[in-house]
Amino acid sequence: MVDLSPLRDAIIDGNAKMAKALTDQALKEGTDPQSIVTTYLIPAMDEVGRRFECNEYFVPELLIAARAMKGSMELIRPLLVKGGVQPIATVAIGTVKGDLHDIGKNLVASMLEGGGFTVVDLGVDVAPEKFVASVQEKGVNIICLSALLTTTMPAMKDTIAALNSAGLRGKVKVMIGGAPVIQRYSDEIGADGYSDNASSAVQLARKLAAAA
Amino acid sequence: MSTPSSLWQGPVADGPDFTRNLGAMLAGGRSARPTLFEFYHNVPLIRRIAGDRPGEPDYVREIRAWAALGYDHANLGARNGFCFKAGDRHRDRSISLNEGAVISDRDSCERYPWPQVEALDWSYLDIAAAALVPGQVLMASGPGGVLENVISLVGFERLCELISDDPDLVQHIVDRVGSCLLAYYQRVAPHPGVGLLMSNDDWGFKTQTMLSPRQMRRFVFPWHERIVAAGHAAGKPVVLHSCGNLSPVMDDVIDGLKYNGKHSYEDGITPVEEAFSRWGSRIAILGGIDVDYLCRSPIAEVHRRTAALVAAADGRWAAGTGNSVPEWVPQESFLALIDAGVGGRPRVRHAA
Ligand code: B12
Repeated sequence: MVDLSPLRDAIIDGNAKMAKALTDQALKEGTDPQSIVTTYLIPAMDEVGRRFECNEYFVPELLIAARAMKGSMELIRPLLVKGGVQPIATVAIGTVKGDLHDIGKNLVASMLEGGGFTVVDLGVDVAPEKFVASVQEKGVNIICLSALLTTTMPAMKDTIAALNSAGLRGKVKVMIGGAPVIQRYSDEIGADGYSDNASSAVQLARKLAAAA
Repeated sequence: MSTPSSLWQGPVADGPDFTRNLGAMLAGGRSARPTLFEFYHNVPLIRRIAGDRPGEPDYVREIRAWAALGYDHANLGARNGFCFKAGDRHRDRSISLNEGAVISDRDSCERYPWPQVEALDWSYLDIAAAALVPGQVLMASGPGGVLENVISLVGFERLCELISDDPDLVQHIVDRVGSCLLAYYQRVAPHPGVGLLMSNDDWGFKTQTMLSPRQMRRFVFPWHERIVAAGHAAGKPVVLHSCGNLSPVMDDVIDGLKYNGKHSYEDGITPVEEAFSRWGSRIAILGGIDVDYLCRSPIAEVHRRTAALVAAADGRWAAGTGNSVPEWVPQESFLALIDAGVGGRPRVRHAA
C-alpha cells in the first residue's frame, strides 16, 4: 500500500481540499477503501482528539479536522457500502428535553462520525420518547445524551426510564455528557458511561459497541 | 410574603455606598464593609424583594430590589432595543449549526441591519438614574459581547470554518459587532448614574476557550481593550463577565485588557476560592458561588462557604453567584448567600 501519511497530515491540519484530493487519488490508484479509513483517517482523528484533550488543539481546529474527515468519508462511504462493510454502530445523539445547548453535542457527533460511527442527530430539546423512537425505527445501538443545565440533567434519568418502559434498555447502551455531568451522576442514573470530552467519547463508544 | 422562617429579614439598613465599597475594590483597594456582586436575578425573586408598584418600569423595580438586598450597584442592560438580532431557531434541529445564523458572507454582512446606536432613545438611563438611592450606581451591561454576538450572527461551526477559510471576513464581521458595542459603551459610560460597566461575553467552557487563545487575541481581545478604555476614559471601572475556563488568558484579561474585575466561576473549572488565591491580588474577584452547588447544597453549607470567603478575602471579594440567579435557584439558598455576603449588616425588619 502506498504511503498516505500526507492524507493523515491533511486531516490533522484540517485541510479539507487536500484530504479530498489525496483520498480521490488513492481510490483511483486502487487502494482498499477500508484500509484508508483504518490506517489513516481514524488514527488522524485520534491524534486530533489527543491534541484537543491536552489543549494543544481548540474547538475550531477540531471542527475543521472533522470537516476534512467527512469530506474524505463522502468519497469512501459509497465504496464501503458497496463492499458490504458495516459501520461500527449506529448512534443517536441529542440534547435532552428543556436544554438548547448544542455546541458540545455537535462536536461529539462530528467526532463519532469521524470515528466510523453512523450518527443520527436528533437535535436539541429532545423528549425521551424521541430517543425511544430512534431505537425502534432506526436500529440505534448507542444513545448519547447531552445536558448542560442542572435543571435538565434529570431528563437523562427520564430517558433511561422511558427506554426501560419500552423494554429497550437491554438493546442499547446509554452514554451521557455535558458541562455539569460527572461520573457519579452516570452511575446514579444507571447510564453505561460518561465522558467529559468529545475525543474520549469516541473511545467510550468504541468500548460500548464492542461490549454490545 | 416572607415566611417567618425565611432568611429574608428585610432590606439592609445601611444603604449602598459604591465609592467606599465595590468601587474601592474595583480600584484595587478594599471594600470598607462586606459587599455583594451579581449579574442578574430572576423576576419572581425581584418581585418578592421589591413588590410591585403599578406603572413602574421593570428595571426601576429591579433597582429597588438590588438596593434592598444590599448591593452597591444595580445591573442595567440596554432598554432601548439595542441588540444584534439573529434569525429564528428551530428546536428540532441543531441550532448552532448555522441555524439562526444570518451572516454567511460579505453580502449578508452588508445587508444586515446593524444597530444605529446614536439614533436610539437613551432616556431610560435618566429614568433609571432617578430611581437610584444615594450611594447606589448603575452597572451598564451589554446585549451580549463581541464573541457571543458574532457566534449568534454567524453560527459557531460556520465561524470556525470561516476562521480557516476567510479570516478577513471574520475580521470584518467582528469589527462591525465590536464597533457597535464600543459605541454603546461610549454612549453610556459618561452618564452620571452609571458607576461601572460590565462587558459580558462568554468565552469558554469546561476545559478551554471557545476559540484558541491565539484566535481570541487576534479577533476578540482588541475590541475588549477598546471597551475597557472607553470606561476608563469616563473614569468608570469595567468588569468582565465571562463563563468558562479562562485560565490561559487571565493574564491578558488583567494586564492586556486592563479589566478591573472578573465575574463568573464554576466549581468544575476553577472554584472561586482558587480563583481568589490565583488572581485576587491583581483583579477584583466578583461573585463565584457555583450555581449548581447553590442549587444542591444545604442552606447552612451555602452560608458557611460564603462567610468563609468573606472572612478570608478581607474586602477583596464581593459575594455572589458564579453566574446569575435563574428561577431554579432555591430562593432560600440564594438568601443564605446574601446573608453571609453582607456579613451581618443590620436589616430594617419587615412590618408583620
Ligand atoms: C454557549 C453557552 C450558551 C449558549 C448556547 C449556544 C448553543 N447553541 O449551544 C446560550 C447563550 C444559548 C446559552 C443559554 C443558556 N445558558 Co448557557 N452556557 C454556554 C457556555 C458558555 C458554553 C457551553 C458550550 O457550548 N461549550 C462548548 C462545548 C464544546 O462544551 P460542552 O458543551 O461542555 O461539551 C463538551 C463536553 O461536555 C462533552 N459532552 C457534551 N455533550 C456530551 C454528550 C455525551 C454523550 C458525551 C459522552 C460527552 C458530551 O464533549 C464536549 C466537547 O469536548 C456554558 C459554560 C460552560 N461551562 O459550559 C454556559 C452554561 C452551560 N449555561 C448556563 C445557563 C444558566 C444558561 C441559561 C439558563 C442562561 C439564561 N439565564 O438564559 C440559558 C439556557 C438555555 C436553555 N434552555 O438551554 C450555565 C448552566 C449552569 C447550570 N449548572 O445549570 C452554564 C454552565 C454557565 C455558568 N457559568 O453557569 N448558553
